[in-house]
Amino acid sequence: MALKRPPARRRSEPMIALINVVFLMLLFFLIAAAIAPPLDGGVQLVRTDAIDGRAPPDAAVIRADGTLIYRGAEMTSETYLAARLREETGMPQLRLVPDRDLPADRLLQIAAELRRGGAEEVWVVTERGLQ
Amino acid sequence: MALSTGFSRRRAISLTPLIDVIFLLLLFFMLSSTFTRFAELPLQNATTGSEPVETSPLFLRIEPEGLTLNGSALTLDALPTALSDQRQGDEGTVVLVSATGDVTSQRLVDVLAVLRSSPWLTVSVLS
Repeated sequence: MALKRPPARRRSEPMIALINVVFLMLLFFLIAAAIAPPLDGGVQLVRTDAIDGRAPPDAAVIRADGTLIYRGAEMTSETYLAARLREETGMPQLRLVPDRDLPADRLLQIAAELRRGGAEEVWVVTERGLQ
Repeated sequence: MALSTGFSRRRAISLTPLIDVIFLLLLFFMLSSTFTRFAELPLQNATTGSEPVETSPLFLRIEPEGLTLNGSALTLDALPTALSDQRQGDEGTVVLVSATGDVTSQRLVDVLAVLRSSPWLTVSVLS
């Protein structure tokens, strides 16, 4: 029995399917993620469970060795405070993102320095567990 | 001037620019967004020369492996019960928190989160 050979011309790839997939990925990232300034890459955030969530912060990161990083640059607590005072009027609310292995002494020391420099409130930002 | 009114079958719109734009949008959102969910809690240092308190404060000492509330050792799970035993009125019970040298930030925040679940406490952290 002779089989009929299909025509040799190859059809082009279906573009619609490709667009569908890319569009679905776009929708996923739009809905599921939040646009945020990148924090320092090597920091493991403190993990908490029972606290209310908040928007991604524009905050200073404290690495486990105690160095303070703000927007990619290493800072002291005075220069961080000065940078925030330049942007905000009045007494700023400052946020710190400590590494989970940072000694608590160092965290409290930085918070005390910021407070002495005129910060109204100091907040610690943590990572919320998926519950 | 002759207008061409013939059967110019409409060609399909070229999809390549559309894909380009959608792909660039996808890249932008993939690179600029985060999936980390943040939380925050206040860090209240003990202020010197604050208003006088009527009630005697509680001293909570955080150690790497345990806690000490007013000198008696306890675990983190037993902390809310022990605190409500020491409750002195609806508000204004002051808890002074101090951390020894080896305590990590994780441990400190764990304890502060437990203290935060008792709204009648005024927490201040000694540095």
